[in-house]
Formats: sequence, C-alpha cells, structure tokens
Amino acid sequence: MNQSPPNLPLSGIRVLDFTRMFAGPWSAEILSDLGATVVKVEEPRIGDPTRRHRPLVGDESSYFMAVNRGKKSLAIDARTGEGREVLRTAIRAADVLVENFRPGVMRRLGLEYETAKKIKPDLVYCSLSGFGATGPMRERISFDIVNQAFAGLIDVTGHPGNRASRIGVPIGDLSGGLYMSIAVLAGLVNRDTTGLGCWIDLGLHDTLITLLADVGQRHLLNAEPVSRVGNLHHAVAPYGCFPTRDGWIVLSAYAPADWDRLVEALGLAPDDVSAFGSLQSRVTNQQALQELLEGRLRQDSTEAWLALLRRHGIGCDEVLDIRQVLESTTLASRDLVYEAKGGDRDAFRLLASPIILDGTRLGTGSVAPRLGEHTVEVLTELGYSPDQVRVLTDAGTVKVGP
Amino acid sequence: MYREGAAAAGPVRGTKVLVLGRGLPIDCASMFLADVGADVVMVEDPGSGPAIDEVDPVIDGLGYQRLAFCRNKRSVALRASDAAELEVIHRLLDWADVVLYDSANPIGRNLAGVLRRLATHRPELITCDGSTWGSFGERAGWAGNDLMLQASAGCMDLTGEADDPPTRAGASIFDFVSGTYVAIAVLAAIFRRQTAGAGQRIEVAGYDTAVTLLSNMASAYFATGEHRSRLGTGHISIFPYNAFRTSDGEIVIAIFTQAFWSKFCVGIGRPDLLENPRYKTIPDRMRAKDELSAILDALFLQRTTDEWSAILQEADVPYGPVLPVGRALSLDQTTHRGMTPTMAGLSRPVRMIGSPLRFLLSDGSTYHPAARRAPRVGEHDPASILSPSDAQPESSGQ
Repeated sequence: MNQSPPNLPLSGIRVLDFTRMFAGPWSAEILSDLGATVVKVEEPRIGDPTRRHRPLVGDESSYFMAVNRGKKSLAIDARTGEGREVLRTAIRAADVLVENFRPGVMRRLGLEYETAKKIKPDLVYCSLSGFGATGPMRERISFDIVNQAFAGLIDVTGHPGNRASRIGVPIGDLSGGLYMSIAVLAGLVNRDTTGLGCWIDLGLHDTLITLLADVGQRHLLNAEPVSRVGNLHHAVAPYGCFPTRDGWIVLSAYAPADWDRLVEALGLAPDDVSAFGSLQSRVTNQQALQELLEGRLRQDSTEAWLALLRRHGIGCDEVLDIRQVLESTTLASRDLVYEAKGGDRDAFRLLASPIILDGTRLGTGSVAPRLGEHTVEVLTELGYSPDQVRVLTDAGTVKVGP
Repeated sequence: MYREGAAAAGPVRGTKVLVLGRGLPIDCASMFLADVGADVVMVEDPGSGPAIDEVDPVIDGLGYQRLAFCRNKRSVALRASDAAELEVIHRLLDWADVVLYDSANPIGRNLAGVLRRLATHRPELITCDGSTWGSFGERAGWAGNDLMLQASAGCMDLTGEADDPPTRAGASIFDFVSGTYVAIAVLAAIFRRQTAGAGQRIEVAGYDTAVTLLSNMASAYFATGEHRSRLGTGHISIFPYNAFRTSDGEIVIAIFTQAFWSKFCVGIGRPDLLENPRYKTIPDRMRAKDELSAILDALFLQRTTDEWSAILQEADVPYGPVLPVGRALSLDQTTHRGMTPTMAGLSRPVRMIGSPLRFLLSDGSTYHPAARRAPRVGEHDPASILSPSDAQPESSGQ
C-alpha cells in the first residue's frame, strides 16, 4: 500500500474509522482524500452493509465504491475481548476516531470517548448519530428521510396541493458527513495548538436544522408559517423553474438590474409588467408573475432561451437529469470524473473530490478496499507478529481479505 | 456525556481570515470558520451589496440572510476601484493568514492576479477560490447561484413527486454544501500550515461540490448506464420508504429491513400483511407496490400524525412526522441541543439558527460557537484591524 504523497495536508494522520452506511464513510473519504491514512474497521462476516448494495461493478458494490476510496479495511470482531484489545492498541496509534453508531453502542464495545481518552489523551473523537447523544430523542432510529422529515425539509420541498417531497440528493446524510469533517479538522488544529484532544457529539438533526438558515431564519424573525411553495421562492422573485417548449429551465432575475434586463430580453410589454416594478411587488404577486413568465417561455425552445438570456447577462440554466449531468461537456471540462483502477479490477468511472489543492484535484488515485484487504498490514504496523496475526485469524477475531 | 465546562477558546483561534466580497458560498464558508474561532473580516463594497440584504424581515438595518450567515464576523467597507481604498485592501491581504474569494465576482476578478503574486511572495498564505464554476473549464468566469446548481447538477430532476415538474429543494443546499467544502479545504490547509509552515492555493467550485453529491447515484449510472428520476419521498428499490398522508398531515416511514417490516406490520395492527407471501421480501414489496400502497394509503388516512407517531414509536421502526419548519425549530430536541440561540447585540431579542459544533476538550473545558450579531456594512475600522495596539479582543466561544 502506497503512503499518501507527503505534501497533502493530512499526510501522517491516522484515522480509525468505525463508520458505516453513508454519512460517516463520506466524511472519512474526505479525510482520506486530504491525505490521512484511514483504517476502516469492519465486522468480519459481511463488513459495511453497503458492500451488498446493488448495482455492482464487477463483484463489488458501486455504492460502497463511491464513498470508501483510499481506505484500508481491517476486518475485526469488536464483540470479542481479543478484538477489543486490538482496537485499543489501534486507538493508541490513532490521531482521530470517527463513528456513527446509535448512542451507547461504542460504550457497549468499551470504546467510548472516556475510555479512548485514557488510552490516547489527545485523540480527536467525533460521534455522529441521528439526534446526538443528548436530548429527549437521542435513542431514536434515524435515516436520511426520517431526519429530513423532523427537520422541516420535506414540508418545505414540493408543490402546494401535492404531496411533500424529499430533497433528491441524500442531504440528510451528507450534511452530517460534511460537518463531521469540519469538526475533525478543527479538532486537529486545536490539538496541535493546545495539546488537547476532544470529543464532538454531532446530531444529524442539528446539522439539517442549519440548512434552514434561509427559510428558518426568516421564520424565527417574523414568526410567519412557512410551507412549500413549489418552484417559487419565499423571499425573492422571479427565482425558479419554468417550462419551455421542449424542457425546463431555471432563471434568477430578482435583483432590480436583473429584472430590467429580463423584461428587455423577453420583450415584455410595459403594461404586462407594471404590477411587478419592485422586488416586493414581484414577491407579493409571485403567482401572477410566474404565469406571465411561463406563458412567454413556453413559446420557444430551451436552447433558444438560454442563448438569449445569457446574452442579456441573466442567470439561467437547463434542468438536467443524472445522465445529462454525467455526460455533459461542462462536467468533462472540470476533470471531475476519473478512471479508478486497483488490483485485478477493470477500470471504472467514479467522481473525484471537489477539492483542488495547488492545482491538483484530490481523490483521483485510489479505489475502495475489499473486506479485510489490509488486516495483515494494519496489524503488522500495530506491532503484531506473524504468529500473533495467525492466532487472531484462526480464532476468527480478524479476517484476512483477498 | 457532553456537559458545559469552562469555556475554551475556539479551535482555530488566532487565524485571520479575509473574505473578499459577498456571495453565499464564501459567506457560508467563512461562517463555519468564524464558528470555530477564526477572526473573520469581510471586505464589502458599500455600493453593491446583495439585493437579498434589503428583503424583509430586516432588523436594525440587517437583512435576515445577513443575520444568518455573517454572524461572528467583522466588516470593512472598501472599494477596489478607489486607489486609496485599494491600498488598504492590500494591507489587509498582508494581514491575513487566509483569503477567501470568488474569482467570478468583481472584487475577486480584480484581485485574482494580486493573489497569485502574493502566494509567491508569502508561501505561508492560504488562498481559496470559492466560485460557482471554477477557474477553468467551459464556464470559467461565469456567474452562478444555488438555483443554477440545483438545475445543472441533477438535484431538481431528482426532487418532487413523479407527476410534479422538476422541483427546487426548499433550502439552498448547494450554497451550504459548497461552503462546507471550502471550510474543509481551508481547515486542512490551516492544519498543514501549522505543521509544515506552507500555505496552499485552493479551488473549490460550487459546481464540483454539487455534482459530487450524486455520489452513489453517479457510480450506479457509471456501472449500468441507467439512472433514476424523481420519486417524491419514495425510494428506488425499497418500499415502504416514503411519506403517507394522515388525517391531518403526512408521516414518513423507512422500512428498509425485514426486522422493521415485521415490527411495522404488528405495530399497525396488520399482522396479516406479514403472512402474505406477495409482501414477503423487499423485492416482493417493490413488485406489489401499487396494491400495498393502496392498503397503506387508506390505513394512514384513518388517524392523525400524532396518533401514528405514537404507534410507530411503540413499534420501534424508523418514522418521522413531516414537520413544518416552525415545529422543527421548536422541537424539544432542537432547543435542548442549543440549535436556536438568542443573538446578542440587537434591539430586540432574536433567535437564530445556531451551530451543531460543540467540542468537549480532554481537560474538561468546552467550546460552543458564539452567536454575535452580524456587522453592518463597514461597521469596523480597517485601522483597528491592522494595528495590533487597537485590535479588538479575540473572539471566543461561550
């Protein structure tokens, strides 16, 4: 296994990663992209449950491959005394520990923060659970859709009159993973300044509440009820999605200068727009404005409108589906897709990291590990002899992968 | 367990961050950095603030979005077009450890060359371009916003009921996501600078962060050539995993294991569904989705959301009432976790959306981001920022 190039920010940092499913692995993958050595601790029988999620690439899960690149897999049974002893040794050698079990699980394994701190006082330890480790809902089962519902995000998404919708990307999980990375990095900076370790107890619910910084902050200030407004916006207009003759576009022209340019670009008659002269009047009469614009925009094609609106400097875009996004020339021009290769696998395409450091895009050089692929390597680095590794393997405490 | 101990200083205290201009991704990124203790100064052109700053509700002259995203920061009013003021901007660039900018907005475009030169003269400087489309590629230099990213990165096509038009997510998620990635990259660079002494030139394009969110949906497309579109609250391969209408609202359930299916059927008083071979496994339930949907639709309409919540809680299956924003913000859990703190420094007490980041340090002290109100444009004097003798005390947590 190659070490990360030494100029990456987290090179030399060791992360012991107990996370599974999506949110936590996503976060640990970011740390890996930034140069950390991430040891993914997996239950030896089937490992991370997403290893079974279809569709497959070769004989591996495309889901698992998308959020676990660059990690080392240590397959180990944490429920056995021997397994826990190995993990305590691994904590001693770690800089960071991340986990996303329900609160209490790490305590049952004897690996909660208080214990870990005794083993490694300056450890940066981050827990991510559905609602966090405190509060009346701390024991609740959580899942992306459940958290989106409790945080108000489903109610504000979708069209009035029709059912609410969840946000199409799993933002419930992703927001937690992104905050986890921020927390770990801030903890590492703090450790190097003060010598202190820390525990961060993140709740997915809390992280989703912060997504309400726009609609939620309005509500906290004016106490007016907020619900879904379809493709309108709560505070500005026009800002939304409109049908054309052959598809859908979005356009944003609420600021005074943008609105004037839009009226000119669409050739709208002064009488037709007299009710929409100010931003406030456009918001108040948003339904009528939407109908006026829809009527006009349906008269020509997406391609024609985008060309015209862009000539007038108006923010607009075409609504694309997943295939159109991934096959677009815009995406190709960003070099965000890379060919992953590793071991005996055929090369396949994946998305790299959105972070570019000193001109180099991160996350383009590695693939996800097979279950237990690095068990021997990790144990050896922790000081276990070949004989000791064999004893652990024979007892079923660890599993050595392909 | 997390308990409030003596207040610690913020994890990245002492780090000086200069933000050139406004725009939600860099506003959001610098909010995270200020939350973890950085000293953040915004350089604002007094003549051309974002239109949203004028939109109601406005309190003490501060728009709601400014209150939300500019907390814990300072503001200086300076125009890059004025030679004398540009000179002050240059001195602030020398002051800064980190410079955040958007290469597609006027001040960022103006100073991009200066920043490149500075990076050569000051190898310890960290710069980060947080533009929408990035510094290269077919849209380099284009303006952009959250709405355009929701459309062009696939999210809109994926959001809404199947019979709805493509639908905007009810929150500006991509401003947030690009902001978090900028903050992540900058924090990593701050860490490296501490250990290696070297700065970094960072680029995080909002478009790249938005596409990255397709994650497993992208890898599935790459593997099969097939892709999904919007399904309301539904799931592509699991049922029931969606919202149901109740007699007074909606409730979501996520029955994604056999164990949950069994508890669910018993809990809702329909053990017969469990016995039915047509509904035995998840693939079976997907095949019989229409008829099973009809049964569950009728059943859920018979009780209120609160009644179903009690039943599903007792059954120990994943569920969530579809709460309006107001109720989500006033949930006991939300307030218990300190997510709606009162903002200091306004003419009337105002609650704000807080930070989920709370640090329990190994010496027992704690750090939770402060909630100081956003500054007015130009509220702070560049001289007091530049001159250490007049410097304000460092920001610290509560």
